[in-house]
Amino acid sequence: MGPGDNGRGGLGLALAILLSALAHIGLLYSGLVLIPRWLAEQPAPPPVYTVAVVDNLPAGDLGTHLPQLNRPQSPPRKTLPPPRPPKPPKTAKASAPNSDTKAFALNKRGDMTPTPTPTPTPAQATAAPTVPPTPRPTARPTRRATTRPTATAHRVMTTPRPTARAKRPRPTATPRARRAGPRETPKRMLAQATPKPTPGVREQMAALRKQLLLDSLKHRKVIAQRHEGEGGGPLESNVSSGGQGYGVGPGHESAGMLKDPLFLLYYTQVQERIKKAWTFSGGNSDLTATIEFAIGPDGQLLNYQVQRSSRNDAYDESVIRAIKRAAPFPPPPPDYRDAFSRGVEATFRLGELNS
Amino acid sequence: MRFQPYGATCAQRALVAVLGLGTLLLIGAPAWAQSQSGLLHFDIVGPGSKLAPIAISQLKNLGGDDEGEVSAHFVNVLSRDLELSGYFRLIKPEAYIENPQQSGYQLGQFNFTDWSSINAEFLVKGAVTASDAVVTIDAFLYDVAAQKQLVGKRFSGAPQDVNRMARRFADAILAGITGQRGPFDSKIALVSTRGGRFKEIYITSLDGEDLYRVTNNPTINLSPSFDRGVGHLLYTSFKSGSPDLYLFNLATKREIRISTDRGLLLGGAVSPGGNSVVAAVERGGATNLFMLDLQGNVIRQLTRGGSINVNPSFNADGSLMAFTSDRGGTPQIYVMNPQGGEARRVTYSGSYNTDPAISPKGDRIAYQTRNGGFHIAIIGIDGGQPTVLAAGQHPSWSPDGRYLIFSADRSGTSRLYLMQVDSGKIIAPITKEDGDATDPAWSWWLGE
Repeated sequence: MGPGDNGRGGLGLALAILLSALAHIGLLYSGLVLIPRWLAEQPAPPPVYTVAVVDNLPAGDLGTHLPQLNRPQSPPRKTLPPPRPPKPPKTAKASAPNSDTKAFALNKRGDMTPTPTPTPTPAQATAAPTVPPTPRPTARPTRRATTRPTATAHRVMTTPRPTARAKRPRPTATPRARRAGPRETPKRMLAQATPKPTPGVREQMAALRKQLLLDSLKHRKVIAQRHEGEGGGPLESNVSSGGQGYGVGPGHESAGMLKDPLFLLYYTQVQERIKKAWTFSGGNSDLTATIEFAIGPDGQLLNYQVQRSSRNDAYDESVIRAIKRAAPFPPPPPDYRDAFSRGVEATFRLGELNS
Repeated sequence: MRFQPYGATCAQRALVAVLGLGTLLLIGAPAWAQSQSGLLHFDIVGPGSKLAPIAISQLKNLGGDDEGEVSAHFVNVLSRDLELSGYFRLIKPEAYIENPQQSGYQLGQFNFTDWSSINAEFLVKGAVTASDAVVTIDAFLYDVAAQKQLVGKRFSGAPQDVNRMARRFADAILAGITGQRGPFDSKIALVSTRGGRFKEIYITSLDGEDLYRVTNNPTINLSPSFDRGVGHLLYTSFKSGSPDLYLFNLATKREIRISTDRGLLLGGAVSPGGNSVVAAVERGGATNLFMLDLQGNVIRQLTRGGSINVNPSFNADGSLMAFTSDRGGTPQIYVMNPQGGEARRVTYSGSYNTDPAISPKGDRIAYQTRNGGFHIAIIGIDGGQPTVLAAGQHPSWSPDGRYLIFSADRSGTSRLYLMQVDSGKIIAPITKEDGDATDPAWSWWLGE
């Protein structure tokens, strides 16, 4: 493509128009059908009405069985003991109530009968990350204008494209780039979106999706700032807030993780789910417990153990229930499946709620 | 989850707003965010809710409860009690997916996803077998997410005992979840003007069922107290013309009068053992505390002097007694060993502190303090700084020590209110607005 194209004559022009038309159709298709579908299927949590796959439970009748939630687990991690072998189901006798024939003798705590298989419970509704935030009025459109065309420069696409396309594929994209730091983001977006000669659609969609995630993240951040009592999350951990911050932890990959909106979004989702699922009343505000657990590639809770007990059984139990109720989580982003299945830890502080 | 202390400066907030994601991308994780184990770390401050969502399914009818009356009764009382406990939020039955008559109630016989999908954290299921003479209820508490049984009980009794079965199961549920038995299998005595202008003594349950009228005389009846076995109720009545103590036997419904020639009886409390009372006896302007046997003979004089000593109250095992005395110039709370010894002053702040109630464990005292109106306050048994909880009078502790019941007039009628002590939360009024309800006394548990 160059200035000489026009001189090639009618055939060349017709070809160019045809290709352009095809490309537009393809783009339209991807924009209106593929991307929404992909966005819907990838980061969204499983549907609310799932049926747990338990050995001794009859299949449900909701017709929405998930194929198999209990995938083979990832290889044993250093930090966590191997998954507990499921205990054999108790017999009918074991689960029978404590007999109280003397009318009202109060028995001690009832049998704690574990289920044969730990099955993830259906996801509770979580905020899907697809909420498109409204762009800030201060947005400068320049960056997108410069980065995008480069990123999507396809050989196939010819003349009319640049202007028409530049707007099309980013209906929900916002000028987040401005906040995202002058150097990092554009570079990364470039890297992500640089097309291979032919298809390009996947990369474009990846870039788009990423941008949407970033937007969603920003949106959450805005919300978190508005409702100061809640929220939190790794974003704020950089601000010197007197040790009250939210640790994203660390490690070898952390530097890379923390720059990745996919990671940050996922991290925030998990944190919000756990908090929402946690109920506790009573006790004093000093109570703190740390639980170690792992999230499998499908988002299932692989394993958990109390790493540091609060020395209050009821509190520890409430924290374990919170993790179980929050599970299954959405599947971690592919790049971080290892990190999440290696194990994470969550510290639950009762805080100053019970003063 | 708060990301900043409440008092965060505007500058800090601005920093958050301005730097935001950009900073994050450039700087990465700060050093202090690293967990020692090298794992990803979440920090979760404060539960999403203080109230655990619980679903209470109707009991499966195994025979004799075709109309579901027993089941409905059990579920109603249990629901009311669990709501009053301050630990739960009941999920409305309209949301339930499962039909309890068509599914099982034991582990493995029903589908937990029917309950996790309505976001229940806990689930109560059970079964009933009823005949004219005997009702048997099996009841279970399940942890929905873990799909495990936390509590399982079988209750068997007469049809009129279904209320109590529900209360005992509520207590067992609290034991299973909080580690501490609930307070519902107990009685509340109170003074009420319902049904007339006279102050009469009644006994009820926390859930308002099983109201029983103890006195029926056109005078004034006051200051009920239970013995620990909940076999007797002591109260003061003017029905003979002058105030006397009466010990009412809850089983036989008979009462004995306790009087003394030492002076005028101005109220008292029955000892936990039930075989003696501590009475305030007035003579010549001085009021002192005497321990009397049930015939009115003096076992021991506990206070001496010309001051006023009233409002005796015992802890659960009777090893401590609190009372009000104005020996220091103003009414204040004192404690002493009822077997004798020196009294020790507990309250020093405020100039009018009365009506002490020692917690069952004996570690705290609730009392009323007057300071532009009456308020309920709490103080350690060794004194210290009191905590004022709410407007009200005449506090009484639950047997588990987690709750107080007291009277307060908030709408022109005095009612009894239930409060969770540690949170200071007033959970609900216990009495309706049918006459003034005052002077509550919370009994020990009715059974082991």
